[in-house]
Amino acid sequence: MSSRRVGIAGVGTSSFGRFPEQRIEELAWEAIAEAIDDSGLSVSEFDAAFVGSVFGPPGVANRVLAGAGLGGIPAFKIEAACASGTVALHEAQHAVASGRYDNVLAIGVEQLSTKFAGPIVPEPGDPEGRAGLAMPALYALQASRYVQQHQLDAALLAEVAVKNKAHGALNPRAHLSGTPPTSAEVLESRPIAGPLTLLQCCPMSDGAGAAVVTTLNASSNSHVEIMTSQFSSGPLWTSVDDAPWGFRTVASTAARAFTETGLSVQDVDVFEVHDAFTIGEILTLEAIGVAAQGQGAELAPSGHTQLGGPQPVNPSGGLLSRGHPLGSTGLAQTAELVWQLRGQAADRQVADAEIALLETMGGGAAGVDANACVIALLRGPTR
Amino acid sequence: MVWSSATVHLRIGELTPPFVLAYIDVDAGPRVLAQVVGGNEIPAGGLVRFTGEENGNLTVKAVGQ
Repeated sequence: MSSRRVGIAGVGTSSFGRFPEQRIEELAWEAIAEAIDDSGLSVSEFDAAFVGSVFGPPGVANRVLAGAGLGGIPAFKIEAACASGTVALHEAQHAVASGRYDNVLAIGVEQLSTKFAGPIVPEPGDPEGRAGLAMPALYALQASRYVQQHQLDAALLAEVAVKNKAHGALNPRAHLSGTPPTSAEVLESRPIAGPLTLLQCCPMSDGAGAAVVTTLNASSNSHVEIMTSQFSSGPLWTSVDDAPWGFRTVASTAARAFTETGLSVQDVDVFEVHDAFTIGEILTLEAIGVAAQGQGAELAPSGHTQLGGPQPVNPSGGLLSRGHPLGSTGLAQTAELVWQLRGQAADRQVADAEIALLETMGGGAAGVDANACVIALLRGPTR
Repeated sequence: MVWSSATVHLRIGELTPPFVLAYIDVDAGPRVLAQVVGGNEIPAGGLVRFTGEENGNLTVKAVGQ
């Protein structure tokens, strides 16, 4: 099947934080308006929209589109746990590549402040839910295994939080954009589960993101090419091998992305990856191949993944600092990478960024390695 | 054999913190999630025995306890 080259012509986001006084639609409208304005397209030129949301109300896709003046176009709601927004981007990319549509909006929107007072409660009908295995506990089990298996000091995990919160301090849209904590402050914050403390966990946030996906204009100085977008739903997570939860799914998805583009992980200048918990960033970077297994915990303290280092990871502050409104996260990551590749990221700009990697992995279904994982490789415009 | 265990300090549903969860690799069997009786984490590689079921959850205890 022939395939068209696809670009992102515009991006936008809301601010991220706790906004219980707002309607969920308002969060989306802010992001949509910015993305459309950024793209130079008019509202009447859109053919369809894919909307990622986990806990949005019934009809959330039509609600946000109607109020944005986009009512009447096909609206697809996508739920893929934390990767909902990224799957929306993936579907938009394939819809344009295949010729099904020409101009598509990918949107992510979530409002957690009106749904949960504490952590997201797991499904009580699942064995994991019955046992109290909320997401912090699931990641804590990975963290505990990781530090014991590789004989590491658990304090190393905190360095990911220190790094991403320092990045987030440079992002005015981040949920936690204040003075970044020290390593000691991260470690002394309230215990949550296993070696994970409060500041090693993402905040429960509200927010929205949007991207205008269209046929690539290679001569444009604003279009960012989606070189590839790969999507996997995880198999059962069993004891067949010793891989941590989600690891095989992320690794195989990344391998497909690199094979399809002919790029290697060394070619990537900047990453936005799923760091809902500190251990998540470490395991993800090992699965992608940035570090060998057992060495990912050294990436942040060594400076490799810090702004100014060879391969900055989560310059936006990541989920740990920008926040993690589940369905929105993938589009927030996308917006950050588009700004980075255009040279529009202000104080957190990665110098000469040309190739970016976007990764989101959502989980939570009983016994499954990952509900969904999307990895996309993006190429910036010629500058 | 314990694959990993962790103490949970969050109130989840009816469960009062702290409580300890563990993934157990059953000999020649699957990896299962269990609650650890006794309130202490068990290092990876530690041996446990199944002690029964509580509110629909498997329970385990460290061998030797």
